Amino acid sequence: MLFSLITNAQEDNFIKDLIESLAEDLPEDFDLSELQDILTHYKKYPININKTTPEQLKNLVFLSPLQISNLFNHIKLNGNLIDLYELQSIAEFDEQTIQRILPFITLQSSDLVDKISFKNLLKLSESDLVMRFGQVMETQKGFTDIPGSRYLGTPERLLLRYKYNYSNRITASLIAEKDAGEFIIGGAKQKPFDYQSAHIGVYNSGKFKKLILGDYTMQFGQGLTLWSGFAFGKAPDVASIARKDVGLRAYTSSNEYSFFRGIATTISVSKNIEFTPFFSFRNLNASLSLNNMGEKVAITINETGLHRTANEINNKNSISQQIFGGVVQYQKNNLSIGAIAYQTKFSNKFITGDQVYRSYNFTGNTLTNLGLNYNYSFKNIYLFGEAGRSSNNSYAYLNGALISLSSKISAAVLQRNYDKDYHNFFNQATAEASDAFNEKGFYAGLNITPAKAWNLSLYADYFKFPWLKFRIDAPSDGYEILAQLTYTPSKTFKSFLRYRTEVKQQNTDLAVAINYLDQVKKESYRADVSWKLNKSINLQNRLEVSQFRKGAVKAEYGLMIYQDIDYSPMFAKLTGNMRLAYFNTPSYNSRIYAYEDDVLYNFSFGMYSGKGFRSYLNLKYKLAKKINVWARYALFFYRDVETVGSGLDEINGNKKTDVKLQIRYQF
Amino acid sequence: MKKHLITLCIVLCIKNYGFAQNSIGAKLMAMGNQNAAVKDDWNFTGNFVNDTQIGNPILAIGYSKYFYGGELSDQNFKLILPLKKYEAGLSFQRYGISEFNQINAGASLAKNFGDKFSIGLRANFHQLKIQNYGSSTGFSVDAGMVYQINNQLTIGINVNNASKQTYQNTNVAIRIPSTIHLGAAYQASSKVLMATTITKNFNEKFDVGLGLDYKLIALLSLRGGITMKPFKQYGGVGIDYKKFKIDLAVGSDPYLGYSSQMGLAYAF
Repeated sequence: MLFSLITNAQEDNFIKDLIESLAEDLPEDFDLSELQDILTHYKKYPININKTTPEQLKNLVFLSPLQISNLFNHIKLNGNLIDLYELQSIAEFDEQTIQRILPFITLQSSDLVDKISFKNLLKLSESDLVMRFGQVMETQKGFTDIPGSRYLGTPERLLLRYKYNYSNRITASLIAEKDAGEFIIGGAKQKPFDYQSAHIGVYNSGKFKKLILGDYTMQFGQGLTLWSGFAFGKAPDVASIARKDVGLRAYTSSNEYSFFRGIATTISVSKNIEFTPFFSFRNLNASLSLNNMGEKVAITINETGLHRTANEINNKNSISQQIFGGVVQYQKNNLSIGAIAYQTKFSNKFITGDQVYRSYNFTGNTLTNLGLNYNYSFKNIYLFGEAGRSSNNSYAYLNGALISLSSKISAAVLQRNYDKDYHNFFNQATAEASDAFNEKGFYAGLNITPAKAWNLSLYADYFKFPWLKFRIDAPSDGYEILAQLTYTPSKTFKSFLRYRTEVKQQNTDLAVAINYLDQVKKESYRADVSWKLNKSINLQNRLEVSQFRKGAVKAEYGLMIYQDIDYSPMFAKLTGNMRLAYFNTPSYNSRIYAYEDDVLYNFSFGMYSGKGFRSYLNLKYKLAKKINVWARYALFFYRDVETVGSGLDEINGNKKTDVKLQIRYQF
Repeated sequence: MKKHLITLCIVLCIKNYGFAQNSIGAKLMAMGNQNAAVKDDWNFTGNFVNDTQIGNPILAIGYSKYFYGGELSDQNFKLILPLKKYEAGLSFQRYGISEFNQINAGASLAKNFGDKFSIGLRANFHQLKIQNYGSSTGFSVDAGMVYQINNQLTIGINVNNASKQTYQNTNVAIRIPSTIHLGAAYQASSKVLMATTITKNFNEKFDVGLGLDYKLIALLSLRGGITMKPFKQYGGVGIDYKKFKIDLAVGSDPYLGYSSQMGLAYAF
């Protein structure tokens, strides 16, 4: 029990660190609950390490592909593990990795009761019901009676999620969600909720390894050809540059864009070959206009999933997307190869629009994508890569390697080249830009552990955009460097220093006849300490300074400092945490991001911009054995401003308060 | 002629970037110009002190090519003669195109104090030649030292032209570069060497370089490195076969494109 509590905190911190490193490059409101779901699941149902598969281990996000490959080689050579501490003898399994993996693995066989029968389905299954309410307390401009565009629905946010699991043989889910400004029920184009998602999955049934009906995601190869949902990229954990694909999976997230809807299955064709055919049909949001032929055409798909104004509601489900295809995967020993082919067909045509930077975007309504991916591990080297082709005869490819140079040093390299007209709607490959096209680059990272308590992570990435981009009216390039030094002398103390610099180009802010590019330099310095005061209280402090400089204009500096207190005594019914932060940034350009604790399953990272204070309080109360309740109160208090936010989100005054309530019932 | 003018511009630009002033050999270039603390016999000029650790006379030749500049290249050779506690070196380097070139001839002497500490001095003769314009000569002195703290960690410093000597002809705007390099090398394992160098070119910003040498097998080493200002990436391989050493390096500059260097050394 004690052990699990400690590891619980560690795991949470790990997820926190991971997300924090990603936050700066993710769109706001990106749903990361998928990530937590998987870890929570395996904590409850630990993986039998002697009977697992590489695919299953890939779910443990902190394991590098090289570690996974080493583990299987070890089992192959030495037979099954007898004790979990035998992991120490496997190459690349350092103390930290072992600490992280222990909560999720076991040596005991748990596959005793998994026969599918009506009785079992009822008695031995587990259900998880979550209901969440959230609202900004101040009135936002969009909810007032203003002429023109405004929010038609109600200001609260609601989520209902039900998940069913029977011994990993059958899963099901039902999700309903509404964003602020949307109708609860009865709005136009709603039946009955604004967003709903469901699935039924059957696993390990004869040749059918997975069969999912409803909403699902697919992640194959390195994300260049077929990858939906969450993906890691450049992060202080340099090994995360190598993607770990988990194939077909049920979708249970509230993100309204990144999934497929239909049917998909993974079939074991032979011992080494798997085949995943899939079909998906769904409606998407897009703003349509008429072309000279009188046809309704689209320029881009709107991925936000927000349907608050008349315009947003009008664009809802305005275009349909039909996808079918298949993936063949071959795996033997240390080699895996995958081949992907699928076709995407839209109900309406796409056009490039007037903006020159979009000149090479997708046009027409049918797109065929082909891809080939591989990974191979040899001794201390793990090689990986993928090539993708879109039907306009454009290519994208990437190749990389993870190398364990010595017991103290590991290196990661990645080279990429994505054509400016590479079209793919499920492309999440590693890239500087949010989409992996129109980019060439080379990444190199190092992870060094010179002594037990010390760790140094470094990476440098150079990238080039051969064609124009949004607000960049010429081919451009840039680089990013990150260095992080971590000192962890004991289990109760951790500190790190991080330096990150990024240099890119962007149109000048000056009014000139033809835009030229100015150098934009962003730097950040972060110092962070977290320690355990006593058995119940954890403290964390952070200081961060950001720098922004564009062209010849003088650099501006932003500052953020916070104190976190976490109170979670063992066996207590009531636990909680809070933050008090002060921030001061001259403009949005020098804004600072920081992870914020939230109610379970909900991740948020605060954006600290302007001048003021930020505070939040989270409480969790164990109402009954199977019922937990969460509450969150969060406040932004700005100084020297008359309004907060912009557009329809604008609030009169200098405060923004957000409350959340969540209840979870597990039965 | 136009092409030559362009090349000349590039040559001069590079000078302003403090690029290719002194050839430091393909190994050190591939590691991101680690010329302060890394032991290497290809180190013609940068860190001659390290040569004291080499046992046999060595003859090394090198050639650099700059892809953007047509015939722009750099040729060099070096001879190292170990005496008892001393080590003497002679080096010769030519950089440029036929219309514009620089020659740097150097004589160095290094002395060992025990196993862990050595210092060295080098005298350089510089000649600058521009077609239809004339030539000028100059003289400079470099100094450096290296200290091995323990089996893993070595630090080094060297200073080029600290006295800020110039070419005799005052009409020449081109300078003999004055730089200081401060570096550390970390032997992480028998196969992995990491190094970092901070370089300050008087009048310019600090540059920081970081590099790595990985001995994949006894015969073959892989190398990589970066420098920060300007941001450049480097890579290379080294082949160590009996008495021969072959090193190849490629550097990528975002503005000037690629440059390459190769070297061949023979230990008698």
